[in-house]
Amino acid sequence: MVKSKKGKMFEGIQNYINGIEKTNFFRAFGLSLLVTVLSVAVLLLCTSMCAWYIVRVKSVISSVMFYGFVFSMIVPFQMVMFTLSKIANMLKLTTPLGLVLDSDYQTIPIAIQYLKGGHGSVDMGAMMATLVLSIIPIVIFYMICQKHIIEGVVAGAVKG
Amino acid sequence: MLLFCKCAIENVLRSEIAKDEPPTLFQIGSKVALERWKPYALDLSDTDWYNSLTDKSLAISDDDGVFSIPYTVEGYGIITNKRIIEDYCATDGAVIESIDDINNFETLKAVAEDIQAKADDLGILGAFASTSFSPGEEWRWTNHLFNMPLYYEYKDMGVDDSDTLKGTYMDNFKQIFDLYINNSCTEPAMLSSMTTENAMAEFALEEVAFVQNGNWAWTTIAENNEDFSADDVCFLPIYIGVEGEENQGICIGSEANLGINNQVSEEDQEATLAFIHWLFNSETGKDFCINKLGWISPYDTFTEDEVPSNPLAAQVMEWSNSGKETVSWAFNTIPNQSYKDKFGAALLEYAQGTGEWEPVVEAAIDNWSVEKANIQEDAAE
Amino acid sequence: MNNKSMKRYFPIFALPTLIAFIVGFVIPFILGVYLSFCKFTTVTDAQWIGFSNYTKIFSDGDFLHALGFTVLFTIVAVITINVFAFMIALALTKGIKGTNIFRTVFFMPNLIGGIILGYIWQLIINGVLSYFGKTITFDASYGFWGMIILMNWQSIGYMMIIYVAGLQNIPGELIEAAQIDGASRWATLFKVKIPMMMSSITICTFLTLTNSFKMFDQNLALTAGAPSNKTQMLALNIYKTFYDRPGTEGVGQAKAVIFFLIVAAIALVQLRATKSKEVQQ
Repeated sequence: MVKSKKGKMFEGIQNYINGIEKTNFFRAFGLSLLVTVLSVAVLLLCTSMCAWYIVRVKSVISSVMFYGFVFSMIVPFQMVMFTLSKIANMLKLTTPLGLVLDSDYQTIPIAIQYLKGGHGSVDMGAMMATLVLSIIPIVIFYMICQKHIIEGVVAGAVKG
Repeated sequence: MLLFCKCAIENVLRSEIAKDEPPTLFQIGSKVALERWKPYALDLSDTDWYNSLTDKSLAISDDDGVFSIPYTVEGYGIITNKRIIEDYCATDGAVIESIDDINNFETLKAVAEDIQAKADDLGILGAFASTSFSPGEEWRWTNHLFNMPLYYEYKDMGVDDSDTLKGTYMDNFKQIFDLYINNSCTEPAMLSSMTTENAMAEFALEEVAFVQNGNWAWTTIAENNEDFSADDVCFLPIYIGVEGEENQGICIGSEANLGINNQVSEEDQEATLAFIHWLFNSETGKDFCINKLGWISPYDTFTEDEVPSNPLAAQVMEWSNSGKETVSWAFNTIPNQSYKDKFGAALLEYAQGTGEWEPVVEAAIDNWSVEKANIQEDAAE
Repeated sequence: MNNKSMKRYFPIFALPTLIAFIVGFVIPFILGVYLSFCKFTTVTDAQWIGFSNYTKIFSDGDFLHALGFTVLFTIVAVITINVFAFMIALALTKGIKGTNIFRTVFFMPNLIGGIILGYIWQLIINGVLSYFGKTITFDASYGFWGMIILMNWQSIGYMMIIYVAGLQNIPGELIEAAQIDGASRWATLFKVKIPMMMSSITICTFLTLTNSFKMFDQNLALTAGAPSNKTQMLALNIYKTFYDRPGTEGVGQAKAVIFFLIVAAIALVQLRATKSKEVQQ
């Protein structure tokens, strides 16, 4: 008589260990951190300077830039997705859809994708664990800065 | 030299090949893919690589030459748990005496339905594993299972590709599909929440007797259940009720074919060929293929003992040498993703009870010529 | 410093961002519009074919269905999200203990990316539906309501914060004056609070409108359009047109242009309508 074996359900910390090993999580995390810090720094610098200019200088260029930026918020991504990827290629940048799978420099989302094997084999346990791990930094950051974050959301939206 | 991994998608190849340092070796999986990538494919008919191929028909070629050679051969069928079948044969009123009696659809049907009825006695949850239909998982049915009616229709017409289909064997397709979904551990209405991973786990935990998949699935089985003995698995051909199917074997073929980029420098091409030579001739290279990658490499440079330890791979070799008619991978001629999506969607609706069989036939047969025409339009540009 | 002299700061302050903007947005955009009139596989082999991509769109049943579905979804989403967010905001400005914790907690769903959200909710919804022997692909309406629930869960926090701030900005004297005049709670709400909140309502409506209409990640992860593309929204439809079948990229680009025109039109109309109702402080 074949006994039907129920799979082990509660793996405990094993999923996390697996996930971290398989995705080389700490390296991916380090890279994500690097990419984030650098891009945020550049972004803050450039856009705040540009914003100062738009507000302080009254000229055609400022208005054009302002309405251009607002315009870009409305335009859906699909409109530029294809052409942008070709331009990024031309300029030798990573394509915006993150499709450059260079295994040496994986950031977190790419690393997690690698848990999905070909022909549909997904390591669910490891995937769930790494997803949790990848959300944690964001939540921590939010906890620390929430006052400022919420002030920012409000300042942009409410008059007075 | 950049090698392109099997799990990469067509779109990534499109972007990579346009770059300054494109891959020198990449996958051209089928005739359909060849039509798209021919401008980049080097003719390989004069190479050692092609000459050492044991079965030349496995290579992808056309009138202008040979363009893509398989690095591994794979096979799929109905993976069966021999122990459960043995237990079944010992029950009262069992319709067969041993697994060897299952050699056509009628018997398979009778056995599956009886196993399903006696599931509780046998200590299992159903005959077949879940016919998974999670988004992206339809390939087991729209490609692998559909291969059966496709193969037979091509055989009737004496061709290996066609722009239109008659759908002669769609009723047979319906038979086997119904068998899968009605004799399973999962209700048909629940299928879109199941994945292939679920199905393999069900089989590995010995909750079901049959699961349709290929030799590559062995690792998943072993991972889910270390105690699953290699002696307890074997393949059964996918019988669909065609005359003479007692002589039918399992589906063996390859999507894993490599071509060399003819747009890179001659040195790069030579270097790539040298790499291939090393891979399939040297001790280290061959060890890599067999033991680390588990490939069944179809070259005469491999002796009979040099096969991977994967029991399903060994089964593939057995079936291919058994003298039974190997079912080739006709599904490599499927036009495009759009076709597969429509087909899969119609199948899902039929399976979960929200659609009829007619739309499935439409999506599989009528839509075939539409999509084939689209390809020609595209290739002609 | 006067205008003229500040202008010389243009190269340092504004130019970098402007260049990035042009390269990263303006050029792809214009190129995209151009390509929508062409047949192409890569940018370099485009052939002009005039409006024929556009005419092909109108015979594409899936696209039209996606359009209808997306419009319906957006209407329901905008109403549900804003009404719930507003109600919760009202509740949170009554000075109940623990308001801050609620604010934090409600905002958190917004931090989680769309794909993960869609995937997890799919597991949850399928889990619940399994008690009824069904899955989310059983009927298009399951997918529809699933996405509404998801969108609400994700967006309510963000909108609520804006509404809370808006409510807190209403001068106390106005409310007192209304109460002294004998206005009921409902009248205070509709005649005093809401008109004063118009700027918040403008922004929230704009954000929910554009986000819902353009939704992609959650759509893909929750249903991927099943069954038979009946829960496929516009963004997903366009994406599939590009990548499922080589040769139709021109049509995909044309669809994207139409998509953009619709979103722009809706956004502009909505902004005009609510801005005119804004009361100056």
